Amino acid sequence: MADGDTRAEVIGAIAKVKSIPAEEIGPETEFAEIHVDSLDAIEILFELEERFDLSVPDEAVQGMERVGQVIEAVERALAERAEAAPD
Amino acid sequence: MAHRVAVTGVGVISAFGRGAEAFWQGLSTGTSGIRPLQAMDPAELRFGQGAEVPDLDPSGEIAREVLHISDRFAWMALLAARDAVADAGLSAADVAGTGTAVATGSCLGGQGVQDVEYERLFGERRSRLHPLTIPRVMANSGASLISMDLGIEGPGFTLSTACSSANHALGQALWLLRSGAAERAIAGGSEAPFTRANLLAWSALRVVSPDTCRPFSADRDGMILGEGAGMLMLETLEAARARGARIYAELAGCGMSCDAHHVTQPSERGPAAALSAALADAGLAPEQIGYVNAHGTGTDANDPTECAALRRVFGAHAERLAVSSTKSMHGHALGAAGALEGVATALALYHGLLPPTANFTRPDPACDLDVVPNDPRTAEVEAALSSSFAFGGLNAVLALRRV
Repeated sequence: MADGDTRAEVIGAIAKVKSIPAEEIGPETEFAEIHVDSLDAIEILFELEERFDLSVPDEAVQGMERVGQVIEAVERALAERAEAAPD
Repeated sequence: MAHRVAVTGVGVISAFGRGAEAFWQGLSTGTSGIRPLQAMDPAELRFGQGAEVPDLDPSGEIAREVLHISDRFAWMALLAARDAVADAGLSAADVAGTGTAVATGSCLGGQGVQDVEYERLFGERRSRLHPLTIPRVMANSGASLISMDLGIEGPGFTLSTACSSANHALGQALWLLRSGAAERAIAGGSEAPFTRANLLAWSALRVVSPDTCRPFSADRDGMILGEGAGMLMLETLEAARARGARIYAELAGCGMSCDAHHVTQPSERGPAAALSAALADAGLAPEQIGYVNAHGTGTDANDPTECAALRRVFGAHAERLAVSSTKSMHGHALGAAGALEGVATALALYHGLLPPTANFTRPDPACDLDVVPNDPRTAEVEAALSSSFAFGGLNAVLALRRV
């Protein structure tokens, strides 16, 4: 999955949960700006786990304030998985 | 000082649609709301009829965010609660705060959501459930939505005692008001049992009629599932009178008992004890009761046992009792049953009209009481009982008095 796709998927997941247009969300968007509460956060995690078939531990997302941080974390997790995969 | 408790508002969603007026219009004309099943293909079931709520679309009335965290049974609880408050001539501001209690009954909780999520798990073999599954399924979701919507900050709880859930909830609400622990309450129950898994479970239990619900008839062959919500606005009688509220009836007493007998087989002793306890709690003599809204499921086992329990409690006065089962019209709404029937009983006292036992064919010698067959009856009765006897043998009976 190319980086641009990851970004679009993460933003798509957040847009779906918050029912707002994806165009209104970018890497610099802060979660407070779009009123992401704790329930929204677990729904976004669920969407990401479903879309990327990941398992995201609680501590991996603590302290995240911006959408860009999530995109980076997902990219990192995907890269780690690619490295771990047998050739 | 013990306070008396008035029913000043009612909200109903039932097989007759939205509103207590549609509900009473059906019941007071002996019209059955039982229809061919819509929820699933009945080919998989031993029955094909139900008393489903038609065309429920809460999207115009309940915010998207609220719908998103809850199931159909909780939406109906919320809509019925709002209707009960409005029917009492009150606003959300009047019921907000710590003086109001909310008490709901639910047997099943969010079965619809549970079905969908478990299908992902066991059907589609996926490994993750939606993160809102827990709050959507929880049985107290209805009480919680009502509290959040109306700003109710007093006592709040949900009781789950199968078919007696709403009567237990109404009884506890009565006692909260009587004791002064709350000034007013929204109490009742809601249920949305028409989900595939739940219908198949009922089918397996072989207690649902393949035809229709004919309580007390010789050829009765089971219950019919019902859906809906009933909420009653309860206020202390003095507060209701002070503000000049219309009072449908006094909620005068509640009696409870356990059968300590069998999980599905009814007993005569348990229900009789609950009936007697309701009379005692209300300070009513058996001779003051003119109408009983029976548990009256239409099963082989319940109806004669219930009639025997009534005879045991009422003695010779049983001959002068009118006893009807409105489940013949609104179905057996499980955790909402006592709420729908409590509304029916309050409206019967208020209008001086007894709803009949619909679908009645011919008498059963084992149910030889006046069961108000098919035709509604004009009757000014002083007081009435509304009975719920649950699977698992947990019974609750309400006593209501004309004001």
